[in-house]
Amino acid sequence: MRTLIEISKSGLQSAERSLSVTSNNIVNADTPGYSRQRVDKAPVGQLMPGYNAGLGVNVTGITRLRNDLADIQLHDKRQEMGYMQEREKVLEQLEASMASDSGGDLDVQIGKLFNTFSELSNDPQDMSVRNNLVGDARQLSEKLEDMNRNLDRVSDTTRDSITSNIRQINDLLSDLASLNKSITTAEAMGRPDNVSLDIQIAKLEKLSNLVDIETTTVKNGSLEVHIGGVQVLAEDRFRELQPDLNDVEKTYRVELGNGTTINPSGGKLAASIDMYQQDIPGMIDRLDQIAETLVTEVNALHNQGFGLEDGVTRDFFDPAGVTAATISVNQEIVDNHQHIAASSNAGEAGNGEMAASLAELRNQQLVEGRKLIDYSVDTISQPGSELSRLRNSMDTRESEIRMLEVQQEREAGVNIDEELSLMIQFQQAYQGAARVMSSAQQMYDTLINLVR
Amino acid sequence: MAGIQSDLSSGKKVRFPSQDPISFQRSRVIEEDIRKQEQYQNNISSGLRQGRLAQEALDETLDNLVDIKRILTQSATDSSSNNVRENMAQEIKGIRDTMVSTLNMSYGDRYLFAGTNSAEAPFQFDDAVPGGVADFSNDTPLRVQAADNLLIDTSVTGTGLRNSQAGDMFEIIGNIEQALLDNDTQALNGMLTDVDQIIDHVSIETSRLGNNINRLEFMFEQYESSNIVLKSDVSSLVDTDFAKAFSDMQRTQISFEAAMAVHTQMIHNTLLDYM
Repeated sequence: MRTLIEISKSGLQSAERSLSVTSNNIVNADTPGYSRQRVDKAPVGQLMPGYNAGLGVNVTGITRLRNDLADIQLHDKRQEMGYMQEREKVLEQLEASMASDSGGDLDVQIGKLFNTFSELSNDPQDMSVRNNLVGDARQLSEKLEDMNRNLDRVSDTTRDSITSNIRQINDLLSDLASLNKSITTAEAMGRPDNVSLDIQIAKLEKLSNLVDIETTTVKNGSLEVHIGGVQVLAEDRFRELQPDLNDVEKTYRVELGNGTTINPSGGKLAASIDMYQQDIPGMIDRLDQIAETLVTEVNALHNQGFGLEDGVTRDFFDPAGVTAATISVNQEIVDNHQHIAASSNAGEAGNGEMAASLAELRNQQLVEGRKLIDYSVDTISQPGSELSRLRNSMDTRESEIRMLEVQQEREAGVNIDEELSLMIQFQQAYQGAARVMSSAQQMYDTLINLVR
Repeated sequence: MAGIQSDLSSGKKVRFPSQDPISFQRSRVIEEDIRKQEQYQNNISSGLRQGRLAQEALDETLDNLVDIKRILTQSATDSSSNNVRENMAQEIKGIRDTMVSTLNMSYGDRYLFAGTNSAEAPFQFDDAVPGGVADFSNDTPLRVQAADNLLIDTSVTGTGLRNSQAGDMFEIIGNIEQALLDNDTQALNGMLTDVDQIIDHVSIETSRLGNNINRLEFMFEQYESSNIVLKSDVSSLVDTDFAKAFSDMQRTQISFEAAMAVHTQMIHNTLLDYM
């Protein structure tokens, strides 16, 4: 007799538990990292003489549905994606500081300088052309300085973003360490802490975007994280990453407290470090090379020519400034435009042959076997061409990530329709169990009334 | 959509290297060629202005020389009186002065017949010099840069002009003047060939300059047509193909609307509506 009430009670309990799990699924449908849960049930039975009687239903646990393999693949792809995204961000800044569509780019400025030298060769006595020439040369030096300054600024923001990446990684590691603690405790009691596991997924997603990680879950359920082969998280202990920066040499290393160097190879962190250590200094080197070539080549010729006033030979650019940051027109020339050496012979006012030779420099292969302007075009479009290559591979990577996410979504994602239909099902199960209980009560009432 | 819009509004499909690195680089390299050619065109125009001025001066000089020859012929054959010869001498002197001022032609502050010593007037009166006209020019002609490694003379030098086969032009003119004053018919007769040689010399120089002017004009036209080709190259590399952009826009719009329609339909299909 009691069994009837017990059976319906277990039915009520299991339906209620299922309903609450379902509603939890529904409200968490768009929570990052959330995996849908299912109630595990098992029938309860008792061996009676001659037969085996069912005694209701037992809730044995609540399972989290998740595809761990897809998670690991996603981490891999995400850290590659994070690397490319960060690189894209910096390259966009670089592109904007190197090339524009307004027409005042480096190649145009250099071309203008050579044009004005050529113009000067027509009429070396024309002071207005000489004024223009000095103006163009100063504009070109300013352009180089400006580009150099922009690159420095990008370098600074990249440096700052490395620092903030390291801080974020440390925060995430500390969160993961405390999650490890609650997960292992729950695991030891045999009741997995699904909430912490889901939060862990969300944290790992962020972490894998920042840096390349390898994760392993040990037997007691705690998560271990390695970065570049070095263990940074085990149990509830994590090791803080520390920055080691040299802003002059442009090196940025990441260390652990005990001096071990970590070499990240993926994620935003590695991208920023690569840009900071190699790409940006590489661009600056190229600008410097352009500046140096201009200064030495123009000076070499200019020093063989003569101005209008006297037979003294002079430099056109200040020979002390051979970098993009320091290039400048010789002050003597700025002060007196007559000193521009257009002539190949002293005292010949109408001789423009040196100016013509200076203009010919544009046709000579001066930098790495290339013409100065071709090299400049190459330099200013370098971030852009890399960007376009990068965007192509990002598209591929993105579709891979989307595919894996869809896979995971199918496994762990909440389908509202499915949950709603389950909800109806559990509602009815609850009603059914309640009906059983009320009919059992009626049965007993009838019996008790007989006795009365 | 945003990309197509900016292509259409700016008229360019490649504005930054990342949009199409190869087209960007190629267009910039071609633009440098255009820039260079346009500069050569400027140089040529300036050369042509100088050359045409010089040519005009040379033509006038030739006329003057022909006048001298006419006077010389008259005086050599005529048994003119002293007075007439004296007048003729005056006339020759006047023509010489005109020639000097014509050949001191300047373009801006640049004397066209001074060679590269163009800050100074090439012909200056100086009685100490035979013929009375001192030479301040040198024999390096004025030039313009018309192409890579190509400088073209835009004038003749004073030194080159006055040195004919018969000797210094002004010295001979001076001698004529003197012979007229001296009434020396024999000498005057002898100088007829000299004047002919001077005229030949000046006309050869003039036609050489004429050749250079023709050459410059021809090069200018060539640059003009090659610039058109280069510009259309750049345009095909970086400018928006409007027909294509519009059809792309239409296609994108349709697929966008389709996606929206599907999404609205999907979102309505939920069990929630039936509960």
